Amino acid sequence: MNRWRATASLARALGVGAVGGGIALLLGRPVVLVLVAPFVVLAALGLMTKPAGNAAVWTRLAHGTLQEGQGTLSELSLSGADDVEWVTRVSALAEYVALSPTDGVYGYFADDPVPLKVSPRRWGRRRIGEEKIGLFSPWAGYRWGPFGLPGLEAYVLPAKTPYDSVAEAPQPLGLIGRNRSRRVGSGTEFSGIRPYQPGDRLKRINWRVSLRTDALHVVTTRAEEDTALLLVVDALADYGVSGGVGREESSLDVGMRAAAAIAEQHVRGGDRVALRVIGYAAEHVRYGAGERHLRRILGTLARVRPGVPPDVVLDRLEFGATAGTVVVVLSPMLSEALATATVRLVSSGLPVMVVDTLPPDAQPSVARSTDPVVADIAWRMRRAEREHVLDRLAAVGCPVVAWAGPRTLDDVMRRLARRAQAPRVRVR
Amino acid sequence: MSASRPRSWTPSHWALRAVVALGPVVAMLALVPTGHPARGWVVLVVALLGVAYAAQPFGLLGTFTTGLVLVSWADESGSRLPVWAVAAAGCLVASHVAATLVDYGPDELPVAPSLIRRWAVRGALVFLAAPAVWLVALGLRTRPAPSDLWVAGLAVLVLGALVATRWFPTELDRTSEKP
Repeated sequence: MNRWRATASLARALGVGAVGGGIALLLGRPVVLVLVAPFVVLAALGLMTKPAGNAAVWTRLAHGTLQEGQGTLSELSLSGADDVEWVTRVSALAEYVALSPTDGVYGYFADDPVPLKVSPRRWGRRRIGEEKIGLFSPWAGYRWGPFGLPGLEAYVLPAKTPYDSVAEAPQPLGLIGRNRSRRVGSGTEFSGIRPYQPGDRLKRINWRVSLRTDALHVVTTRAEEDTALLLVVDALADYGVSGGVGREESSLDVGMRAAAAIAEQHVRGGDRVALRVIGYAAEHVRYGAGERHLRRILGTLARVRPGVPPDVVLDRLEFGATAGTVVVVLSPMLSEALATATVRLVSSGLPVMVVDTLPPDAQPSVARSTDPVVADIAWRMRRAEREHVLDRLAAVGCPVVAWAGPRTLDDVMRRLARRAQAPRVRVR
Repeated sequence: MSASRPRSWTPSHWALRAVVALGPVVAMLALVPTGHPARGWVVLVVALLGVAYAAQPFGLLGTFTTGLVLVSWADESGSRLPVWAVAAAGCLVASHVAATLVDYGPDELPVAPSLIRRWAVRGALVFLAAPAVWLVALGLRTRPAPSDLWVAGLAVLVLGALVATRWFPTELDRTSEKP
């Protein structure tokens, strides 16, 4: 249990005062009294300012939800600590969490508190605020601690890469949205002119054609519908080294940030977005729309851990994509099972695109005992197999693009939309 | 508390620990102008203890090192009252204050300038007890010392400390003065 204890300084002042006083009294040496007089005063002051009660200490973060790269303050609160003069904080250095001061060690006077600045540098689960605290009474007579605070676990959301796509979804099949549909509806884009039918709106009457043909004609427009977008994120493994936000990215960093950007863009555009993570916990978010749904998706992405799911047979992966769904697979395409599942999706007629998340200079993490020459050869063979997989995807008509920030998918979406609108030959 | 590692000391720690180590040595060297210097091997022992004290300021080494300085002064000065004792007291106070500052946190903690300033003022104020006692003792030298004079002297010092807490309020005093 924490309690106020005498410091080494107080013990030293008391010891020197007692020894000096004893020498001066017993041996009659007044000069020793001159030497120890300040120590007696220090000891008395330290004893006089002994704190009366026990202190309670806790920390809180100024912001509960954080994105990678954002900063917040870790504020230390004291209760029952009116007698505290000085506070020392020693924060544990957590992976991908930047602190200010950099080493997380600093102190301040209790009546002028200074919060610790914290900034998570990478998405995922981070423990923030694990630290040791020391409290000192005036004249450094007594100390409380150092004692440990466990810190708070926070899920850091992926950074929002600016994604401002102007491309439409290839096969929108919803109710109301921003994507032009093949169906005729109440959109804004001109589709054609046809004879008037009961129920048509009078403001749609095209008077020029009607006068020329002596029969009422109306303008028809294409419907604007939402679409369903399924994001499939490959979290089977993480390739490359992550340096945090703004620095070198691993394959999972690219996948998470791209998925966050795409999800935000389409949710804000009114589309229904679902998420399927092929990883250790196989997270899944059903189709939905709206701000709350977006936060659910981002929160799910923040909880992703790379690894092979224990209870899923990779060879029989199913994504649960329905008709009218656009599927975006974010993957480094180093898994044969995932590539096969993607080809199956393409064959089912759904518009599918693959975002290649493997950084160009990525290297796999290998055990220290592995021969680097063998590891290099194995990696090159793996990459050769990957090229074969990508060729196979291209052969079945699945576009593969490397994530390059905003508008990466624009051209692909346009091509898929044109392909969807092209007439198809059905063999009976 | 675990042992200090010099590699982790901040520049302020190095400076403060130098004061911790040198204070007792300079206090011993203050005996030289009195005409009765301490023995060389005693100064050497104090120097070595001072270095150990600087490395581990939170143990008993500080008390032991300072105690050795007191014994040397008692032995060499006898019943005399050289004014250099006041200077020696200042050196011992400086060493004690520096050790106190080092003990505010781990080796990696840079000692805040505001904390150093506050303790510099405090050290200067408590040091004034040394010349005050020197003057009182000098004034009483010519008179035959009553048997309980030194006890009275100690009582005066403690009373002075109590008065000082009123002149230089701490957080405890400020709290009690609030309406």
